[in-house]
Amino acid sequence: MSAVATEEAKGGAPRDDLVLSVRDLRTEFSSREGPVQAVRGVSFDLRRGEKLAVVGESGCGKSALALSILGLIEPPGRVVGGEVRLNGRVISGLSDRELQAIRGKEMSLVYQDPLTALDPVKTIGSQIAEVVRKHAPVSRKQARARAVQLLEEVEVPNAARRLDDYPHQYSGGMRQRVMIAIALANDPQLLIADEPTTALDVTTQAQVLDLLERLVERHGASVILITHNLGIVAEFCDAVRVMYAGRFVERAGVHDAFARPVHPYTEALLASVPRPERLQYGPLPSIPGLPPNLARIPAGCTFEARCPVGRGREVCRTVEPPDARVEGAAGPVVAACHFADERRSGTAPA
Amino acid sequence: MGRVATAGRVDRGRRAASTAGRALAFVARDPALAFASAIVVVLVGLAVVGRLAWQYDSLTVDVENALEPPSWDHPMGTDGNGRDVFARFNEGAGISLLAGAVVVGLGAIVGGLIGVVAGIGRRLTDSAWMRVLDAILAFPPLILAMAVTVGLGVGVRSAVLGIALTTVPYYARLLRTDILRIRALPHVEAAVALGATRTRIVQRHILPHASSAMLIQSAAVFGYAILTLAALGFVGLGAQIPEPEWGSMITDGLQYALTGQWWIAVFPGLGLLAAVTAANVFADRARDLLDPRGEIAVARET
Amino acid sequence: MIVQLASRVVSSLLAVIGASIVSFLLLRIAPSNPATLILGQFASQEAIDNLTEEIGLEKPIWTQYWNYISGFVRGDWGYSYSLGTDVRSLLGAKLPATIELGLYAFVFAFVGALVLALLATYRRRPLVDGGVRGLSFLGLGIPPFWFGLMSLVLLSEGLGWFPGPDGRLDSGVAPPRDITGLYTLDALVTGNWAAFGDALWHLVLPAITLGLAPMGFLLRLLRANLLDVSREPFLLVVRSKGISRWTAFARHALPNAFLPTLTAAGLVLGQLLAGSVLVEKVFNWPGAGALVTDGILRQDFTTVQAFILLSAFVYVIVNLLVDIASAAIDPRIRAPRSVG
Repeated sequence: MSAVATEEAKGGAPRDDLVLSVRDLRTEFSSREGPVQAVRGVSFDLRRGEKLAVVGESGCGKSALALSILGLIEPPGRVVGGEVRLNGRVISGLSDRELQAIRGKEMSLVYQDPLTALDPVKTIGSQIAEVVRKHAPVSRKQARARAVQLLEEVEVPNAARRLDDYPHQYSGGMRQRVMIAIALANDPQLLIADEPTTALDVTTQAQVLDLLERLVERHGASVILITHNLGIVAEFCDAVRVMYAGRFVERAGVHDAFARPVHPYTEALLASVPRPERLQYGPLPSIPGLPPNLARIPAGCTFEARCPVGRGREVCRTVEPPDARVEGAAGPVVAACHFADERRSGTAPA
Repeated sequence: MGRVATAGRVDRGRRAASTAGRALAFVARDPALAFASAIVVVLVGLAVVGRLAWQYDSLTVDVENALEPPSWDHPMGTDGNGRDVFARFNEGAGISLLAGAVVVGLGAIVGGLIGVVAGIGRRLTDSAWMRVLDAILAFPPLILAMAVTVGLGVGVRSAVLGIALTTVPYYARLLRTDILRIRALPHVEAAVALGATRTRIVQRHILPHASSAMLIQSAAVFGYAILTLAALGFVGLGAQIPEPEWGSMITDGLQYALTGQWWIAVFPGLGLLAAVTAANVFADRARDLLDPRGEIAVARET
Repeated sequence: MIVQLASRVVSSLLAVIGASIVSFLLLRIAPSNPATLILGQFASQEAIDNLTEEIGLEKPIWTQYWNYISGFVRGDWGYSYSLGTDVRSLLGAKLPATIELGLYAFVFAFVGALVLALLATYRRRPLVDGGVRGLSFLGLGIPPFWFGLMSLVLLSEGLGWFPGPDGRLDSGVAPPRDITGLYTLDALVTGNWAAFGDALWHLVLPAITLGLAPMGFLLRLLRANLLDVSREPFLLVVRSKGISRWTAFARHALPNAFLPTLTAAGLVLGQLLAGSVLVEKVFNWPGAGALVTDGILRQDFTTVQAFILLSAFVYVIVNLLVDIASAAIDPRIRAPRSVG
C-alpha cells in the first residue's frame, strides 16, 4: 500500500489497475468572504480491496472530498480542478445524468446517521428497493425480495417483516445497517463511508464496523473511510491519509501512522485522544488554536500557527511544505513538512 | 477631572454613532430590508411633515376642481369633491400608522398579560383562559372586528379596539407557550427551588426570551392591523366620510375607478401595499435574526 | 389517541359555544333597540313594543340565548325581520356562491404556491428565488379589495379579457340546474357547457383576488419547508443511489415538505370557505359575505349570528380534520416506535 503512496506523491500518471485514482482535486465554495477552498489539490490512489482512512478535524474538507468524488457538490460549491478516475474511466467531467448510472452501482456512499439520513416517510423496504430498481430492470416483487435478502445480509432480525417499517421504528445501529445494505446492494467497487459510526454508541460501533468489514470483504469493495475517530481507523484500515485545511499532510500505512507519525499534526491528533491512564497528569491535551479560515489560506504551512515544531519559523511561515518522502517502519511515508526527515530520524528541533 | 468626563461623553457618543453606523450598513446590505425601511421613512415623513407643509388640507372641498388627474399642483389628483388626494393620502398615512401602533400596543399588552397569567398560573387558570381565547379565535376575525365596531359605534376608534381584540389571542398564546416552555427549563426550576418569587422569575427568565417572539409577532400584527382597518373603512364601518382613511378612500374611488378616474382609489391602495409589505419584511427579517430555527410559532401575517 | 381526540372535540365544541356567546353579547351591546331599527323611526311605540315582545327582546339575555341555541340545533336559524325571510333559506341561497368562490380561490392559492415554491427551490437560482419571495410578500401585502378593483380596471374595463363586477354569470346566461348550488359543478354534471364556461370566466378574477393572500402565505411556508428539507442528509443519500435530481426532489423532498404545509393549507381552506366579505363586495358576488355585512350594519343579528356560528363550526371542524389527517399521513405519528 505504501508503494502506492509514493507514486501519487510524485504526481505520477494515474494507473488504470486501480479502483480509484484522484489527481489534484480542487473544490471551492463561494461565500461572502470570497471562495472557500475546501479541497486544495488532493491526489491519491485506491487499490482493489484496500481500505483507506481519511482523518482530520471537522471542517478540514473530508466530506467535501467525498462529495467531490461522487459528483454531488452543489452550488454554491464547485469542483474547479483535478481529475477523478473510477476503474480507469474518467468520471470527473461527466454530466450528472451519466454519473447517475454510476452512483449506487459502481460507487456508493454510507453516511452517518442521525435519524435524518433516511427518508422518514418512506418504508425501509422501499428505500432499499429504490437503489435496486434504479440500476436493474426488475419488478417490484423482485426488488422487494432482493431487499429482504440485503436486510438479512446486514443481520437485521425478522427482515421480511421489518421491511415495511419506517426509519423511526429502527434503532440507530439498525439504520446504519440499512444504509450499508443500500450501499452494497449493487456490488460497488468503491464504497465511501462518511463518519459511519459517529452517531452510534461504542458497542454498536464495534458491531457495525465488524459487519462492514465482513461485507466489504465479501463483495470485494474498496473503502474510503472518512472519520475523526482514530480508534476505528486502527481496527479497520490499511492506509491512512491525514487531512488538514483541504490537503493531505501525511500519507502512511496504518502502522506507521500510529506508531511513528511524521507530520506534527498527526502526532498532535494522536496525542489528543483521551487515555484513561493519562488523566492523572492533568487536563486533556488538545491542539491549541483553530484551523485556518479556508477563505483566506495563509502563505506557507497552514499548520504553522499551531505547530509545536514550526510555529514562528521563517520557512514554515513563508513556504508551503512540499510532500517529503521518508522511510517508515512498514513502508514509505509522505508528509508535507519541512522537517519530515529530521522528525523521522529523531533529530527535529523543539 | 473635566477631561475624563468629556472623554466619557465623547466615547459614548462615538459608540452610539458606530452602532448606528453598523445598523445602517446592515440594512444597506439587504435590499428588501433597505426598501422596507425606506418606505417606513417616507410614509412617516409624509404623515408628519407632509401634513404640516403641504398647501392643501385634506378636508377642503373645491367642487370646481373635482376629479382632476395628477398634476404638479395636485400630485395625486383630486377626488369627487375636489379635495386634494395627496393631502388626504398623507393624513391617511398618519391614521394607518398610528392605528397600527395602537393595535400592536393594545394587543401586546392585553394579550401579553393574559398570556403571562395563563402561563404562570395553575392549570385551571390556564385552561380557563385558553377556552376564552379559543372562543375569540373561532370567530372569523374580520367579522369580530366588525361586530365590535358596530357595538361600540362606528369610527376609527372602535375599529382599532375591535382589531386589537382579534390580535389578543395570538399574543396571549405566544407568551403562554413561551412561558410554559421556559418554566420547564432546568435553570428555572432551580430558581424556583431556591425560592425565587413568581415576579422575579418573570423578570429574569421570561421577559428576555419573550421579547423576541413579541417583536416578530408585532411586526406582522402591524401590517395586519393596517390592512384590517382599511378593510373596515372599505366596508364603511371604520373611518367615516369625510375622514381620509385609506380604506374608505378606496371605497370612495370605487365608483370613479371604472370610469377612468383611477387616481382616487389607486394611491391609497399603493400606500397600503407599501406599508403592509414593509411590515411583513420587517417581521421576516426579525425572524431570521432572532429565531432562525423557527422555534417561535408566530401566526397571522396578512 | 382516542382520549386525545375526544378532548379535542370537546374543547372545539366549547370554542364554538364560546364564540356564539360572545357574538350574542356583542350584537346586543349596541344602545339602540333593534325593533326600532327594523320598523323605522316613525313607527309607533305600540308597534315597537309588539315587535319587541315578538322577538323576545324583553326576556333576560340567557333565556334569549338558550332559545336561540336550541332552535339552531333543530334547524331553526332564526328569522330576519329586516329582510323578511328565515335565515336558513337566506343563507342557503347565498352560501353556495361563497363556497364556490372559496374553493376556486383555494385551488389557485395552493397550485400557485406549489408551482412557485418548486421554481424557487428546485435549482439554486438566486434571482428566481428573490422574485418568488417578493411575490409572496406582495401577495400578503396587497389589500384584496384594492387588488380586485385594480384587476377590474385593468383586465376588465381596460382589456376586456374578463367580465365586470356583475356577479356569477352574464345576464344573458341562465344558471344551470340546481344540484349543489356550485354553478361550475352543476353545469359540468348536467353537460351545460355554456353555463360552465361563463361561470368559470366570472370566477377567474374574484378567485385570484381572494386567493392572492393565502397563496403568499402558503408559498412562504412551502418554500421554507422545501429549503429545510433540501438541506437534510437523506436527500444526499438518495442522490448517492444514482437517483436523478428531479426524482429525488419529487419523490422525497416534496412529500416531506408537504406535511407541515398540509395543516396550514387546511386552515386556509377553512378561512376561505368562511368567505370574504370584501371581495364579494368589489365583484358584486351574491354570496353570504354581503349578507353578513349588511346584517351587521342593520343590526340584523339573527343573520349575523347564524353566520358566525356556522363559520365557527367550519373553522373548528376543519382544524379537527386537519389534525386527524396529519396524524394519519405522517408515519411517525401513525406507527408508534417499537424498540430495536
